Amino acid sequence: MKEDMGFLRLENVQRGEALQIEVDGCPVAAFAGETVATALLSAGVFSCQIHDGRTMGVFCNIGQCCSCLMTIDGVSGVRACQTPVSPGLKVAIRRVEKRGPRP
Amino acid sequence: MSDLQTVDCDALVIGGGITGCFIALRLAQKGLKVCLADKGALFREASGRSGGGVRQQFRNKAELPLAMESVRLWQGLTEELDEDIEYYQGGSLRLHRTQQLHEEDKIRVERERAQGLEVHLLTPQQVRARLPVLAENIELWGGTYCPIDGTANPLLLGRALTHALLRAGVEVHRYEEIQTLETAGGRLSGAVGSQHIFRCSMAVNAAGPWARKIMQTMGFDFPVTFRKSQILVTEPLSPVIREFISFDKGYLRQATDGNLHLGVRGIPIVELETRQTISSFEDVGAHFPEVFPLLANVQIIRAFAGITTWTADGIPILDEVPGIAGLWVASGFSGHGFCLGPVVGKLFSEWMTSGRPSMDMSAFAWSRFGKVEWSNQLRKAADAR
Repeated sequence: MKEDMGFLRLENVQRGEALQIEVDGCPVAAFAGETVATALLSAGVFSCQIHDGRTMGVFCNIGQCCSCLMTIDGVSGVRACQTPVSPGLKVAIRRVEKRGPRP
Repeated sequence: MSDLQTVDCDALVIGGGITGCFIALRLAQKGLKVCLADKGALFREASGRSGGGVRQQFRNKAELPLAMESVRLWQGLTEELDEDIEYYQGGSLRLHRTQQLHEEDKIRVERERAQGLEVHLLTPQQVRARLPVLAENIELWGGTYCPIDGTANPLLLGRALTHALLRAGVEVHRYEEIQTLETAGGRLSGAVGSQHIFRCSMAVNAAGPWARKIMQTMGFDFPVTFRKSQILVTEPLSPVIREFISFDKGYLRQATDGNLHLGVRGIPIVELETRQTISSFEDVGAHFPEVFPLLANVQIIRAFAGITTWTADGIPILDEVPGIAGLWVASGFSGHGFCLGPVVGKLFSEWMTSGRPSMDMSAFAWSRFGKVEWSNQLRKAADAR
């Protein structure tokens, strides 16, 4: 299905089985063997965390920068770029409500 | 050696950490031509790897007046540097988990208050009111609280100071490792670096741990030891902590971006290196979550280590180098250099230009660790170089 390819995936590449993950409750298409970060980028979702209105997304994509921390399977602070997808995996955008010292 | 270019200046500052940067900045603002040389990049070592605490309480009696004056200077830095350095005075809070520490701190608080510091002894209830993230089931005898202590972002300060140095006309030499100092007739006459020869009549050795090596090239045994202190950084969280918190197992603060910075006591080292140590992770894992339960479910996203330079009595050596007129040393801050940077810059610029600093520095004399002598033999050898 061409729609599932998203706008960043190359064609003519052998992929795993098509599946869906859930990002903030919305279905996002993915293929087995991809990372959560790949699925998000291909779907055009660029925000992994929102800090007091400022968004952060996949930056280094190799597990170093911790810019893509998300809440995955109920665990906060997990790197989307290092987490493989699985059918029905629940992913949530990580929100830090306010920046700055506690009043 | 002859292919090195010669640079003339009034004063050479060795070391581009917080101490050296402030000394260089204040000297240049007094109209001197100043060169600042660092073996690497500015703020790369302990200053940029600091816990970021700007704290006055539980300091040595002799050091407290300097810390208080430094905090007064910190309050004007954001405006002067015209850049955000994330300095805020959220207070510092020390927890007492034993009766013994609580009793000892009663005496300490009295002494500090007599010296003019605003610091309060807190009951367990007052500590809990201030720190809702504290575990409910731990033994707690109270705490001490200084409302005008605070924290700053070491990396932003390094950047802001670099800009200020350039604006003030300081000639910044990065990747310039000073190999040796030169003298003539018991006076400093210059220094040989890895890229340049400096001709100057004044210099200050503010090279942190490497200050010892530089003193060694002149034949001195500089009485300091080294510790490696590691800081663990968590994922960013919504604001949970305002104060700089210290307790018997370490310290923590929350950065403006929301990350918690967790520090444990430094590990003694001999070789100067900053590789990460697994024991810091083990210490934090073993001792922090029982006091701050929220940490049990928080990810550590990075860690870094820096080298602190210690004297036997835990306060720095801030002195003229005996026998070599025109040479000063400022090192051995024992983990307190970040707070003291602004005041040391002020005092050294006064000392080096007018002959005396505006505060009493006698407690920081090198000679408190025994007689310091530059023998005639060493003097002749140095002159002959």
